[in-house]
Amino acid sequence: MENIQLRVSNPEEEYVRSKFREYYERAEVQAPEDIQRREWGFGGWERKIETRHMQIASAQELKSRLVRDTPLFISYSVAYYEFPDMRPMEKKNWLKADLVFDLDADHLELPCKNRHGSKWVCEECLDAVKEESIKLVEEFLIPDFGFSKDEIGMNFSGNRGYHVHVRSEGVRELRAFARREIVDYLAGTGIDFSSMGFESKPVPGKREPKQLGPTPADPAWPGRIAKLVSRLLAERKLEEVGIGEKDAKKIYKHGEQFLRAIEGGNWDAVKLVNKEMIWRNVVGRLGIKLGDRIDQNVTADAGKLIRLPDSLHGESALIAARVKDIGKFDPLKDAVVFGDQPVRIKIKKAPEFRVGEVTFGPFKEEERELPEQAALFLLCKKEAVLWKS
Amino acid sequence: MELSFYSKYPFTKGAKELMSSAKVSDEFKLSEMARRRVISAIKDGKIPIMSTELEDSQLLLQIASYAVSRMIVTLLKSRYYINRYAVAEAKRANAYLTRDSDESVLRIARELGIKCDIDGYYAVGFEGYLRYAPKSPDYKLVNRKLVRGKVRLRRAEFIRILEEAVRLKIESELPLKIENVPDRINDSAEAVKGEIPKEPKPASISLEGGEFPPCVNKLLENLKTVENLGHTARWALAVYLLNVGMKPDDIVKVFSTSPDFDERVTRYQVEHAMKRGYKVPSCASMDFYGLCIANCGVKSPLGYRRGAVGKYTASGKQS
Repeated sequence: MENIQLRVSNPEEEYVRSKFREYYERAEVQAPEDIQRREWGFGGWERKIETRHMQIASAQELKSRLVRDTPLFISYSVAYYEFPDMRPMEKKNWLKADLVFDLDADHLELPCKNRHGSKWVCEECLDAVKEESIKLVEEFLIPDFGFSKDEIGMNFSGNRGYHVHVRSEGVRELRAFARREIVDYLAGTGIDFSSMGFESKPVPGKREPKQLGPTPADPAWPGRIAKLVSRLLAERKLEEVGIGEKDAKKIYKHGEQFLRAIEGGNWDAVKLVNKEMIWRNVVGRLGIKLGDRIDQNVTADAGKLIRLPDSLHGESALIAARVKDIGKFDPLKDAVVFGDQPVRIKIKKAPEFRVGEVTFGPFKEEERELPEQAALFLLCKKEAVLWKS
Repeated sequence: MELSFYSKYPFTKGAKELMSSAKVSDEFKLSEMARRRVISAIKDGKIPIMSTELEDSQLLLQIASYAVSRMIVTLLKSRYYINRYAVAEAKRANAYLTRDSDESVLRIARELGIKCDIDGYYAVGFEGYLRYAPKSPDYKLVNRKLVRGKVRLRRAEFIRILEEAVRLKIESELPLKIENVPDRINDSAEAVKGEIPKEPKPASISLEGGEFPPCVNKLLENLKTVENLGHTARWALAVYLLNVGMKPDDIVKVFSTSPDFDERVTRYQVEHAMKRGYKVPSCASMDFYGLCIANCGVKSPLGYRRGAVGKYTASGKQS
């Protein structure tokens, strides 16, 4: 009861909330495992988390709070606590935590960000963050960490990224240090060049040592490095990992020979000046882009709150849709839950955007009648107000 | 066969079961052995290993001496002694495992609940690896061969992981809940107290006219609460203390509260760090090692409260 605040709400907020309520009345939102052990956070028009340290006892209570309180954002702790509603944090008594990765297009620092900033997403960033999520699962979580497909759940974040949940009993016990190590593994942080199989081997009678390195058949990071360099070589894209134009040309010239040599662990088929530095530099660029150190801390932090799958995101009116087949998943279609009813709004400013199959905008200072799903999107972005004539 | 196994690894369930039914005839010899075991563990940091080709009665005494040792250690009523004892027992197990068959190594690993297999490689499940691997750049997961959830290790590395698991197991089981301690064991505990070094008081150190940054305070605190610090953490702390002008002798004293403290090794490492003139790791590096705990807004721990950071002085000598 302590959270009741007197606040004047605006018509847009009230409208969005009423629409969200309609969704929660008809939707089947699945409760997370062990719901009574989780801490919950609700967000509103101003902030994504306005109240936290709450406990919800059952799936029924969750349903009724969604309908009654209708938070514009709802998230729960990846951690399981003995007393989820106690504060400060230490009193909650941490028991264990799911392992969740948070991939956000905003962290990929794509060129399109310069065009639309952090508020908007475009097809380019949504595709890129999808690629990154696929890479996380297909190239790291399954082959290296040995998780099965059944243990990995993925959902759209509701805005511009994906959440990957690992539900394996073994990882729930991992403490902060171990989680941080996993994050470092994925991001390639702290890779030690010589541990990757790179070695400058002195050759008798020669001044220059021979550069040995990993082969594509090697497991884990060494193999990943060799495979990536081989692929980039074949595609003539070595410059992407920071190899200078001159060196790249030299390698392309003897491409076939270089590829075959790498297969045998010989990284010296083409004479390069400062070769060790070149490969060192490449190794530094290959990880999963999980954001800067601070965001990684959030991923590694076993006390984080994460969006409830299937719940609505108050900045987009899209749901955090569960992803069955990531290859076919289209967030701007599969995460849309509102209909085509026309809604009259006054738009401040919006770039071109798509909802479902239809592309809207760009708009600037204009009054429009848009389908509910697009109108809600703009209202949530706070770039439109209701238009009452 | 089994007796010899249990004498090497007396912390196993089988050894415990054996002890609950076995009868040792020579009680005097038993308490003598236990007394010596605890003293070497705490004083020298290691327990000498024995031939396992002994008569059954001797092997049984070995196993029983572990059980009695734990009672003695419990009676010392000190977390510091418990941890130091556990370190030595774990090292002893390491020494036997190194000489033992893969079959025995695997058996111990299973007993410790570590997912693993030996199939061309010594492969440990990454969860167990992250829990028990030393916290140093060498053991960083990213530099390891991680295949389908298992980290591939060399034999010695694998055994090092088991050593840590043994240490934590023994540490967590102590102190024992004991009542009605036989006089003989009480006497042994008293005798042990007279022969082991005093529990080091945490060297109280302070900076004149300045403060340690939060990361250094945390490291010092971890030493005091006798948590086993990783190599990098120790190194960073030593280098920091050297750089604020602390003398190697005093640094060694600071480290003496660590349960696996070995004065000779510590002194060598501190003097080595001084000779090499290592610079204090930047805040970015501290963060990278997982040692940064606060956002102080400085670039180096040395820059914390710049202008206010003074020279080290041992408390008491402060004017």
